[in-house]
Amino acid sequence: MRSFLVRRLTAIPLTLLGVSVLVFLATTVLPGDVGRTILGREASDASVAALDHQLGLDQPVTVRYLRWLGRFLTGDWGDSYTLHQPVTGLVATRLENSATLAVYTFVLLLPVALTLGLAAGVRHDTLLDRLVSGLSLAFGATPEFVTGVVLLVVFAVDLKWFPASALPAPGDGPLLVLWHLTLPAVSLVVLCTGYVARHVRASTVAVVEGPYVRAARLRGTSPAKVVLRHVLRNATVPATSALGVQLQFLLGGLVVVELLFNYPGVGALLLQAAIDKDLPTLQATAMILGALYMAVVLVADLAYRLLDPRVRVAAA
Amino acid sequence: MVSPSRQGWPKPGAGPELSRPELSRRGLLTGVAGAGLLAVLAACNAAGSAPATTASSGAPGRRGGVLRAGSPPPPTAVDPVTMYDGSAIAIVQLVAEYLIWLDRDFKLVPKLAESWSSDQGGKRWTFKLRPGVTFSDGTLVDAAAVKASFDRLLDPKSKSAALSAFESILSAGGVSTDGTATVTFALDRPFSDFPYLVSAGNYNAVILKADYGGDFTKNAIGTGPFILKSYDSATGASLTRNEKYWDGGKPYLDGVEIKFYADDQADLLALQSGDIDTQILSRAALVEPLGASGVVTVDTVKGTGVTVLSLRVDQAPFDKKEVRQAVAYGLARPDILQAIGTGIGDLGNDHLLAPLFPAAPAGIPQRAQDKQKVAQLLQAAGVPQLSFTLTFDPPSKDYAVTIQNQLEQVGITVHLDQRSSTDFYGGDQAKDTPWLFTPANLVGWAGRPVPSQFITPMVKSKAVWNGSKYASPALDAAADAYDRASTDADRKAQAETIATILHEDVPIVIAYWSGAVRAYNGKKFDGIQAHPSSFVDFSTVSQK
Amino acid sequence: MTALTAAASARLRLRGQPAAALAALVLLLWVGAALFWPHLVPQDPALQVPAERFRSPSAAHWLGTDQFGRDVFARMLAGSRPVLTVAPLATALGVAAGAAIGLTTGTLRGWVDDIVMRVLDAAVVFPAVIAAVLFVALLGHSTVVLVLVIGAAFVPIVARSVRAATLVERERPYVEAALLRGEPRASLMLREILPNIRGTLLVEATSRLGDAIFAAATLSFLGLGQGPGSPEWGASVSENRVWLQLAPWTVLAPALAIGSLVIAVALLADVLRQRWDGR
Repeated sequence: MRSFLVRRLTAIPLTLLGVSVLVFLATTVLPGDVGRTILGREASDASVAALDHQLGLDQPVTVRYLRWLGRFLTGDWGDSYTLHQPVTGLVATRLENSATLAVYTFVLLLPVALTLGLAAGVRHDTLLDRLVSGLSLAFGATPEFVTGVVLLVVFAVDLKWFPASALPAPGDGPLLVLWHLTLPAVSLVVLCTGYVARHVRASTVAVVEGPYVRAARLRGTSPAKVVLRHVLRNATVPATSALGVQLQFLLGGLVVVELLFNYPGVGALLLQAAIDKDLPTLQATAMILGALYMAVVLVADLAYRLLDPRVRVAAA
Repeated sequence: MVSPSRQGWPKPGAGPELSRPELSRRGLLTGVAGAGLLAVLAACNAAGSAPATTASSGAPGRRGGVLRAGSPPPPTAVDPVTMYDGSAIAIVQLVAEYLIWLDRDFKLVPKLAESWSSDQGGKRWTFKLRPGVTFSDGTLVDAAAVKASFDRLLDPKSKSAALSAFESILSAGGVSTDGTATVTFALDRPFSDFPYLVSAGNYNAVILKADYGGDFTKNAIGTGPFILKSYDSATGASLTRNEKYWDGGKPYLDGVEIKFYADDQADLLALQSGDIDTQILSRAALVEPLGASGVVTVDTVKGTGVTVLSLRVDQAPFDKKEVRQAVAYGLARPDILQAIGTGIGDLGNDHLLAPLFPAAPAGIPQRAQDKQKVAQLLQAAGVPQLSFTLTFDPPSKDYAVTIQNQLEQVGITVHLDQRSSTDFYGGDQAKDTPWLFTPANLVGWAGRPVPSQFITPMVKSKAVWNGSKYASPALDAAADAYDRASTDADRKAQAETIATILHEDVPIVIAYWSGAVRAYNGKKFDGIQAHPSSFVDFSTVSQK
Repeated sequence: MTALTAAASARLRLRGQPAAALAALVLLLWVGAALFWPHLVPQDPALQVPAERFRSPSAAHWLGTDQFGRDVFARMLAGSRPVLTVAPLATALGVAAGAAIGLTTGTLRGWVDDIVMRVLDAAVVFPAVIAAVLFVALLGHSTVVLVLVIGAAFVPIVARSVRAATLVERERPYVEAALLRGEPRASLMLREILPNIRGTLLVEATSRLGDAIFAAATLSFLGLGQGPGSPEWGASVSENRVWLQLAPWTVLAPALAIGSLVIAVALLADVLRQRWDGR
C-alpha cells in the first residue's frame, strides 16, 4: 500500500513536467503571433515586434521554457498575455467558478442517481429496472449540448423559470448563484446520472442476491429496513469510485457547458488560452487541471483498494 | 453501461473557429471607422469653420434607472490606446470622450472641441476647446491634456491602431498648443477630411489626462457621462452617472451595467428573458427575426462596413483580368445581401465608393450574376475550368459558404480554407500573413466614413493592406487627387475615375455594404440607437 | 460497419430483444443513409435557395429549411456520412494502436511496461482541448484530423484495459506451457494471448464506437469538425441553435439524429457486453 502511494505520488510531478513540455511545444508550433493577437491586425509590424520582444517571445524555445519553468516553480506564474492580469488570480477565480458548478452538479446528481440505482437494483429484472437502465443509457449517450439547448429554450426562454446566463449579477447571494447555475448543472446531471445509477444498481443487485440480505430475509426483517441498513451501506461503496470517475467526466463536460451557458469557468479559460496562444495562462490551467485529474484518479483508486466490498465481505 | 472512457471527451472540444464572439465580432470593429459624409465636410471644409452646436437632441428624458447591456468579453485589456474590439471601445466611450463625436449618420458633432478650422490648403488644423470641462477627478481639460492624448497615440512605441490611421498624414511632433484652449495639428500633407481622424471615427483618440499610465480599468478618468466603478475581465463592468458631466442634465440614467456574454446565444437569450436591456454588439442576422416578432426592438442603420473578397492579381489564376471578372459575375448579389447582410445595407459594385458616400458615382452599371458571361470570360482567359481556394476566418464563414454555393452554380469550384483569427491575421505583414498573401481571401472591414480610408491602405500600389497586390498608376493618381480636391465637383470626378478603374480591374470583389443593428427592450428604454460602427452614446437614453 | 452490424444482429438472436432489435434497425437505417444519401435526398443538401429561408416542415421540405434555405432533411441524411466515417475509423485506429501497446506491455511487463504506462498517463493528462486545437490549426479541418484526434484519445484507454486482460491471461497455465516450450514472445502474444482476449477487444471496440460518435458530434459542435458548409450534425446544432425559437426544426433534426445513433450504438454495445459476460 505504501509503495503504491509513493509510486503514484512521485509520478504526479513527473507527469506534469512532461505535460508542461508538451504544452510548450504545442504553443510554439501553433500558427499566429501573440503580439498580433494583442494589438490587432491594424497595428504595424514594428509595434508587434516590439511587443513580442517585451514579452520575451523572440527568445529561443529552450530559454523561454526554462525561464518559464523557473518562475513557475518559485510561484511566479506571470501575467496573461492577452488579459494583462496575474495568472494566479485568474486561474483561481475561474477554478472556483468551475468548482461551484461541479459541486452543485454532484449535490443534485447523488440523490437522483442513488434513488434510481437502488430502486432498479432492489426490483431488478422488473419493468422499472429495465426502464431505469434504458433511460440512463439513453441520457448518458446524449451529448450535453443537445440537452442543454433544450433546457435553455424550455426553462429560460419559454417558461422563464431560470435565467439564460449562468452568471449571477455581482453581489448576488448564494441562493441566486445556485439559481443561475441550475440549468447548466442539470444538463450535466442528465449526462452523468445514468452511469452512477447503473453502478449503484449493479452493486445493489449483488448485495440483494448476496448472503447478507438472504439471511436478513430469513430472520424476517422487513425489506425496507434491509434496503436501508445493508444495501445502502454496502452498495454505495463501489458507487463512490464510480463518482470519482464521474468527477473526471465532469471536468471534461465543463468546457461545453461553460460555453453554452456563458459561464467563466476554467474550461472556457483553457480553450481561449489555447486559441490565443496565451502561454502563461495555458500552462497554469493545464498544470492545475492535470494535477486535479491525477489526484481524483488516485483518490478513486485508493477508495477502491480500501473499500472493495469483496475484501470487506471476505474479512467479515 | 456507459463507459467512463469518455471522461476526456467533452474536453477535447474547442477550436479555433468556436463561436467565440470576440473572434467572430472582432471583424466588426477592426479598422479605423474614421471620417464622415462629405456633405458635412462642406460645412467644415478648407478654411471653413465648424458649427458650434452641442449634441443635445430632443426633449430631456426622465432621470433614473440603470441600463444593463450585454457584450462579449474584450479579448484583450481595456486600454483606450491599444483597444480595437467593440466591447472595450464601448466601455471607454461611456467614460471618456473625443474632440468630436461621430453620429449614426456620420455627422461630426462637437464634443470637447467647440469649433475647428484649417488653413494652408488643408495642411494645418486648429481646434478650439470647450471651456470649463473637467475630468471626473476635477482637473480642467486643457490644450496640454489634448496634446498629450495625441502624442501618446503618435508615439511609434504606443502600439496603437491609431498610428495606422495617421500614417502619412500626421506624425509625432505635429501637435502643438496655443494657450490653454487651442490645439494645432501640422499635417504631413493636405488632408481635407482631417476632423474625422480626431473624431470618434478614430476610436482610440479619446482625451485622457496627461499623466494617463495605461491602467484604465483601475483608474478610469475621463470627461464622459459615466464613471467606471468596477471592471472584471470575466463578468463585466459597472458604471455610475457622472454628476459633474458638462452637458447639462445628462445623462438621464443613474448608471450602466455591462455584462459579458462569451456566447452569442447567451447574449441573445439574456435579452429575450430580460436579463439585459440592450446589446452593445448586436448581430443583424440574429436579432432581425426577433424584431419582426415584436420580442425586442431592433434599430437599424445603413453603413459602410464591408467584407472584401481580395484576389491576388500577381498570381495565376487571378493574374488575368477576365478570371477576376468571371468571379464577380458569378455572384448573385441581392441574395448575398439578403442572406448574409440580413437585407440591411446596399449592393456592392466591386469598387470602394459605397452608395452612402456622397461622391459615389451613379453611372456605373450594377454587376449581376450572369452565367453566360462567366463562361465567356473564362473561355477568353483560357481557364475554362476555374477552381481556387478561398481563405477566411470565422466571422466570414457564412459568406464563404454562400460564395462557394453560388460560384458552383456557374461552374467555378471553390475550396474553403477556414483559419482561426489568430492564424489568419498572424505572421509578417510584409511577407506571409494569410490575410494579405493567400490567393483569394475574405477580410471584414469596419465602416469608414470617407472613401480614402479604404482606398489608400487597400488598393494603392504597395499599400500597407493591399491583399490583392494590385498596382495601377492611374488609380494612385486619382486617389491622390481625391485627397487634395477642394471642390465637390472635383471630388466627384476623381471618385468616378477610381470607381471605374476598380470596377473594370476587379482586384477586389464587393458584393454588399453592410448596415448595423442594435437590439433593445423598447418597452423599458428610449433613446437607444444603432450606430454604423456599433459605437455607444447612452447619455440620451432614458427609462420609459 | 455493415459487416459489424450484420454480425451483431445475427449473434444477438434479436427476436427476444425488442430494444436491441430496434437499435439495430436504427443503426442500419443510418448506415444506409450514409451509404446512399445522394440517391435518397430530395435536393442537394448544400443548395441555397434564398427565397425559401426558415420554412417550417411541409410536404416540399419534410423537415423545413435553414437560414440559407437549404433542405434540413437532406442535410440530416447527408450528415450521417461524416460521423459514420469518422467514428469507425477512429475506433479502429484507437483499438488497434491501443491493443498493440496493451498486448506488448502486458506480455513483456517490467520496465518497458512501467515507462509506457507512465507516458500514457501523461497523454491522458495532457488537455485534449489543446491537442484538438493544435491538430486543426496545423492540419486544417478534415476527416483525417478528426480520426487522428479521436483515435489518439482512445489509445491510452484501450491500452489500459487490454493490458489488464493480458496480465490476467499471462498467469494462465497455457501461457506457462508456451513459455516452457520456448515459444517466441511475438508468437506468444499473437497466437496464444490475442485469441483469448478477443472478448475484451470486442467490448472495447463497441464501447469506443459509441464514444467516438459522441466525440465526433462534440468536436463538430465546438467547431473542430470538417469545416464550413459540412452537413455534420454537431455543427448543425451549434450553427442553428441561435434560431432555436424561430426555426426549432433546424436544431432538433440534427440533435435527434445524434441522439438516435448514439443511443442505438450504446444499446447494442450493452447487449453485446452482456452476452459476452454471460458466457
